[in-house]
Amino acid sequence: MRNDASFLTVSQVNALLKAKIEEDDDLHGLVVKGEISNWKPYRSGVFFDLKDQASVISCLLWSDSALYLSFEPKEGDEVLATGSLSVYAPRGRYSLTVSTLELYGQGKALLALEALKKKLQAEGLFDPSRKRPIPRFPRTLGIIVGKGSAAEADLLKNLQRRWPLADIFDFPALVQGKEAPASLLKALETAETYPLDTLILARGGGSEEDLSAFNDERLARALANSPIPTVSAVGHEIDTTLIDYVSDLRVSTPTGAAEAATPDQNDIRNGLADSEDRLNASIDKTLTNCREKIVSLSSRPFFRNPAAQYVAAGEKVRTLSQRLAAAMDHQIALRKENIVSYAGRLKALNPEGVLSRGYSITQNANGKIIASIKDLQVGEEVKTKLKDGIMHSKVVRKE
Amino acid sequence: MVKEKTLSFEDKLTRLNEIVEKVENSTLPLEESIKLFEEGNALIKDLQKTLDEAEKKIGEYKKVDSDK
Repeated sequence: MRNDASFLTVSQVNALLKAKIEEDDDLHGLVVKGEISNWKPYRSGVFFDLKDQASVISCLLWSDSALYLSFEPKEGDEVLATGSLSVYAPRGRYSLTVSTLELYGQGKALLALEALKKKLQAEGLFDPSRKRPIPRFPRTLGIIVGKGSAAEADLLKNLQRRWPLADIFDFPALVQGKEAPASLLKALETAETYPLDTLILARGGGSEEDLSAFNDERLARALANSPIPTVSAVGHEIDTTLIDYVSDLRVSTPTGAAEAATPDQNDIRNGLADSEDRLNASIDKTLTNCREKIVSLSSRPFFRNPAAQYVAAGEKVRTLSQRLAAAMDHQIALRKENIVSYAGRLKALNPEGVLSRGYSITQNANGKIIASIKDLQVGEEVKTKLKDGIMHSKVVRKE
Repeated sequence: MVKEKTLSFEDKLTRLNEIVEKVENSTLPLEESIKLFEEGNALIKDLQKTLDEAEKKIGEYKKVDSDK
């Protein structure tokens, strides 16, 4: 019988292997290429196999890692699995604990694209603050589209139907294949020499590879630096290219681009009709108000019986004229009385009147009235005027 | 009226909206209301005419091929 030190237990072998494998840095962060089979999702994670023509390896993808996959893996997918080898000691089985999976082929391109995207983002090319507003009423529109593509026809039709006021410049380009980035870039450079209010870059849906021209770094940079506000519509809703990130506005379809870049003339026409109705209604209201004001004014007493105003005035005039006449009469009567009294007084002073009462006036030959005895000479002839005649006499003596 | 020629479609539309608001919401003297009303109607006619004339050139666009 051997002693205890001369053999290992099963557990010891498995533990040894586990330690060897899991502590080996070369077996961490492996990228393994293989085909997926036996894909079995459980609550805790997914168990599956990676295989090639000759071999199979068991894999485990924990569910928290599975959440971050960029695609939906399925049987037969050629993938690159990144992970580390681990050993399940009770069963002596090793497996690959996968942290991430990507589709082989796209994987490399995707990685490069992701890196490029991060770079441009870090440079601020995607910043919302860079986004310019798309003019509401463009006078000139440029479109960069595939030559003879459905997107081209769709855009031309919709833009013109919606907003015929805009002059449209079509800059067709290759939108697929190796030549596409250069062709798109050239179209963009040409477009920039035109006085465009808005530029639309559009392409219908396609595979990731078909859209790759719209992930071109030079094109993305050129578009970011373009002086023209741009609308991009590349691929479908789920496809977001670098062009979409740098454009001022991103929409999902060429039709959507037409809608974003132009107002609908029908809306504008309806708006005009509405304005017309509102103006008419307002002016009608104003005129009605004016008419009502006139009616209400004209029903006031003055307008109802304008003569009343004059009757009152006439009354006043009459009263005044009566008072005036009465005053005049009074004044005249007063004057008359005065005249009578003066006449009486004058009568009293009339020498003729005195004569009639028995007085007489004596004058000398010269007609001088004799008022004093001193005026007389004895023997002088005088004439004395009496009431009814003149008496001639001679002064006999003076006393 | 001379000014109107140089105004863009958008400017005219803005002016029209301004006029409609003014005529609707303020107690302007009648003469002024009528003046604005006439200006508004002229703008509407002008804008409609612009649209109608533009409609005629539907189908026209300039193709600029940069691959020569």
